[in-house]
Amino acid sequence: MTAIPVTGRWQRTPVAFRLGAAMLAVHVVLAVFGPWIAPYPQAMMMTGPPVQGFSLAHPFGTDQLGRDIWSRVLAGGWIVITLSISGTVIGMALGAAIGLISGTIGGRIDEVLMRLTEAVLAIPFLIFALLIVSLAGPGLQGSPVLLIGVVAAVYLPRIARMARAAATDIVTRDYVLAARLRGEGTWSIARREVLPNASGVLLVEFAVRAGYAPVLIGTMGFLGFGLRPPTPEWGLMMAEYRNLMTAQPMAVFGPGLMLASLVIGLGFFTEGLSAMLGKRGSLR
Amino acid sequence: MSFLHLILTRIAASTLTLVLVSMIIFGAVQGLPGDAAARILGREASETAKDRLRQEMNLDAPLVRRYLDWAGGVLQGDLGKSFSGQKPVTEQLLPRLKNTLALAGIALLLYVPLSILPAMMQARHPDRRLDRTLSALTVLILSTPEFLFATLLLFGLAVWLPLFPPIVQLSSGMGWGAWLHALFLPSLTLAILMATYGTRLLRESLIEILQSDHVLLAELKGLSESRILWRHVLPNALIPWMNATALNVAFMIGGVVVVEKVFGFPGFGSMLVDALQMRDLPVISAGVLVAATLFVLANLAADLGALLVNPRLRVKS
Amino acid sequence: MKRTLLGSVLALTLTATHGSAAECLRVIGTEGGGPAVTLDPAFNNLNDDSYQQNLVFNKLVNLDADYQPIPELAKAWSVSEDGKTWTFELEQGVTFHDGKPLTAADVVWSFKRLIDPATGSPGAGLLGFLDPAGIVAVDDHTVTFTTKDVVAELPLLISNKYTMIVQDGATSEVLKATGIGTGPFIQDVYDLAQDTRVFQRNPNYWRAGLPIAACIDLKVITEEVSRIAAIQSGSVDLIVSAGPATVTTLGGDARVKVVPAAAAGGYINLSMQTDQQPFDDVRVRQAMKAVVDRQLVVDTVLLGNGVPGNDTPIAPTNPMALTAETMPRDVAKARALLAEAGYPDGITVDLNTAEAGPSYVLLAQVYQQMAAEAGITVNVVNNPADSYFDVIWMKTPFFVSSWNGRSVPEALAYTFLSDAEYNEGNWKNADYDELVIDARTEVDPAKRAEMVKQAQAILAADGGLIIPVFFTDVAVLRAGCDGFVPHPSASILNYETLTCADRAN
Repeated sequence: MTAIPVTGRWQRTPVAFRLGAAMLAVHVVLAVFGPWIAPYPQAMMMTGPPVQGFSLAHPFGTDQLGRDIWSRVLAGGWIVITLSISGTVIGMALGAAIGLISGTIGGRIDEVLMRLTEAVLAIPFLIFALLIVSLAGPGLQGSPVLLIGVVAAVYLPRIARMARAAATDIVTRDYVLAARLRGEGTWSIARREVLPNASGVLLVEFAVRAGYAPVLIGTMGFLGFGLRPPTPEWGLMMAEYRNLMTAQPMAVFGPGLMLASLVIGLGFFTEGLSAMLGKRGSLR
Repeated sequence: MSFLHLILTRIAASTLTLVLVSMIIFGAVQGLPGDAAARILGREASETAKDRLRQEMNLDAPLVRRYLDWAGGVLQGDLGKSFSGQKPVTEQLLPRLKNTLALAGIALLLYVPLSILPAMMQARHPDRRLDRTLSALTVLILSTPEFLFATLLLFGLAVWLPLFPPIVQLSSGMGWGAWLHALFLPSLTLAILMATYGTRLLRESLIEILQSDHVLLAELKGLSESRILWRHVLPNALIPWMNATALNVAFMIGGVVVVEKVFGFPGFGSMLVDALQMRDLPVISAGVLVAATLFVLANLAADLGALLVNPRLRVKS
Repeated sequence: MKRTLLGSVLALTLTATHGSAAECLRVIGTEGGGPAVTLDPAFNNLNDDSYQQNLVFNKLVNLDADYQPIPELAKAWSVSEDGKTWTFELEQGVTFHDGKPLTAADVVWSFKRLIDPATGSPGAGLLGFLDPAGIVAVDDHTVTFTTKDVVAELPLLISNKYTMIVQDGATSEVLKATGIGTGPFIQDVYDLAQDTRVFQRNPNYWRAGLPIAACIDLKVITEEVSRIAAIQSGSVDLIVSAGPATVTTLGGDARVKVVPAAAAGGYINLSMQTDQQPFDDVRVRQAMKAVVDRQLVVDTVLLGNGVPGNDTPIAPTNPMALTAETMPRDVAKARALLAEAGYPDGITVDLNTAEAGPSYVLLAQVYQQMAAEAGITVNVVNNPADSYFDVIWMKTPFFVSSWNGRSVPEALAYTFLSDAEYNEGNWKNADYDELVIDARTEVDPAKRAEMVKQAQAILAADGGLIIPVFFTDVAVLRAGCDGFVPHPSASILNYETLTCADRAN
């Protein structure tokens, strides 16, 4: 199995992959150029009367302070994407490193690491996330850095377990035995033989995790443990505007649609990717 | 080795996990910053009252000593005394846990058909309209934050279509019918949230098995489609589904926090979040430990269930 | 076809149990106390405590919507010639829920317990003028309060949220979970773990024919959306206090009745600590006040549910207020004041806030925008809500806070006297203290009103608090229910006349 078929011709890729890639591209463009596209500065008050529904001037309406919700949504895109991706990347990198090495080494260290992983996994992830935020203390609470850390910490043990499973499978293969016979060290085997062969699974896993990260961040905001207003993060905006849900539904559904399309785009992308790689990942 | 030996090994491993969990939790909880007395009593509380509460809490003994005391207590069913309620934690926790287990139980019952039936319908004719629609719906629910989904169901089935009470009010004299009626909506919410994962996974396993040789053989033998699906394909897809269900239980223990908040349900999850915010350390430690225990038990059950369903696993291990 | 059939069968079976026979009135509170909630009036700190204590207890004297004293357990009162001894005559035939009659000894115990430092009640500070030896039971139905100095408005001052009457000898340990009072409802099911609190009608209530409701089921729902859904679906009867979003959402909905309080009561404020830079300069404080567009704050933060304030704790709708006019916004003046104070290029300040109270975060954001035009750069620091009152409040130079409505003398003293426990601005002004304290001993109402206004003038010009708005408390009743009007002070709730046509009465 080749690791990543990046060179595969575009036309031959699955439809889902192309659709997903296109949706993601739109999101990235909006996230980067959002502030220039936005009709108003995101924090500007009284751009219209407070709590107004759809109008041409305000496609997502206005909030209690008369801010334009469409402008806020545009301003929030890069936050959602940056937090989700960086949190997932960190969790992924550390988790994969621990899992792959543990699986390659085997023996007692592997046993201890995996017991610890199991123990952490036994704590429901939302409660685990809330515990981390509480432990960080008031100084850090609500900061984006902490949220990235939380996403990473939640994903780390899950990815470590998965990577280890892949590694223990791979180390029994002939080419690894051959490498051992050639006298290659454990570290070198993990890096040269195990990692490339596990990267397909890990890539799919990455896309799935990155798609759930913004949902997790939004839920944390709902419970009062996440980012805090006036940060225009979508999940947080939905939480912040939920009181107005029946009076001004677009305040909630506007950011909701954006978040859903991002996650769905990632989902399609993943589906296409896994079809190309012949592997699939599970979301949790 | 023998089947019994296998089971005992699993149980021993689970116990070890739980001991580790208890250490992690206790250490983490003791490290929580913030003045519990000030948080519990509110801003207009007098210094006298706060000092009195701080004395009650007794946080002076060394850490290891306190851990051993606590763990010893836990083994004897004593989870300590709640800071905020000034009562044994068990008195506060058990009724809440009972409620949440009831909620989760109903949710699990609903989850079984909600995850199996759509997957069967989808796998039967993959990539047709029904399959596409259900897949799209699944992904849409997956990408909606839980609190929003719960709120939408709340307005949908309690306000616009007033089938169920919007908030859960439990009372002791409540009949079974009323009780079930009160719990149905939050349970349904939880079940749907869980089912989206189960369905996705089950659909893929079903399709994979449908394409395998022995199914083709069955088709050649002229067995009816539904017979093949129910008798041959489904049982084989159940093991990954059961593992997913065990993982879902872990999600449920977390996700229940959100559902309980939206439906005003007097449950274990909302108690845990309140305790975290008030720094009610004994309640937090006990609550997280109970949650972890439930998870470990669910996994153990899934493991043992897999052994029972598929005897080949017994030999393999 | 199959699905609709199934749906209707489901609907039939399920709605059958809905709204059937006699049920309790369902009352929903908005601020939860969790397991810390108490029935002890001496610790009536949280709104959740107030929701339930007002069901089971009475006060000696209560306050009407204008904060004027009205008789409750005391049917009449009088003051001696020298103004130092007040005599309260108790209602006859009042009994506690356990059947014991109310006597003067219960009243004496209630107040002595409250001011006893060993009790540790936050209410003690409000009753500093009382002397334990001066609280005397003259006979079974007469109590006198004798003070060292003249206390002109004593009946009003002994009525605050902590001064509910408990039984002689009742202690905090017992009262925490057992509320035996003389109130309109009797504690029945009280299971905090199950979140179930049921109170039954007091059949021997001393006010004939009251209360109307047979029983009340009290529950707190902290989620605003869930409260909206609950009242819209008709499964709850009363939300005692609703936020601006609820009022906007439910306005014009025939399924509910929105009932505002007779007057605006509490306020949300920005507190500048006057002993911290740059707020130690009165010109900076005045500039910070001048940038506020008070009406805009009412329109946005409160969505119209309130009135503009003028940096004093008395709402402009109150006859004792400094002025009924709204202080205009003056950006040029603010700039000039800042330049005079040595900040010609403007200043930068951190404003601390949190979702620890309703609209705190919104107010901070609005202020940030208004101040920017005058060259004041406000960094909004949004803190965690759970530790706000522990770590940020009164411990940082500039923060958001709020207070429930109070009577005039209490409001002027509680957070503004130099030695006040909650002196949010760390503001010390001898002239102000003197006026407020002297006003207490002034017997002539006209002169007293004049002193109160003078004190407010000093406060508005010199004090550390920006009080841009007073909010109007709003209750929401289900259509078919009636008889509940929110009091301007959220800690006073009267359930006596609450009734629903289709519930047990």
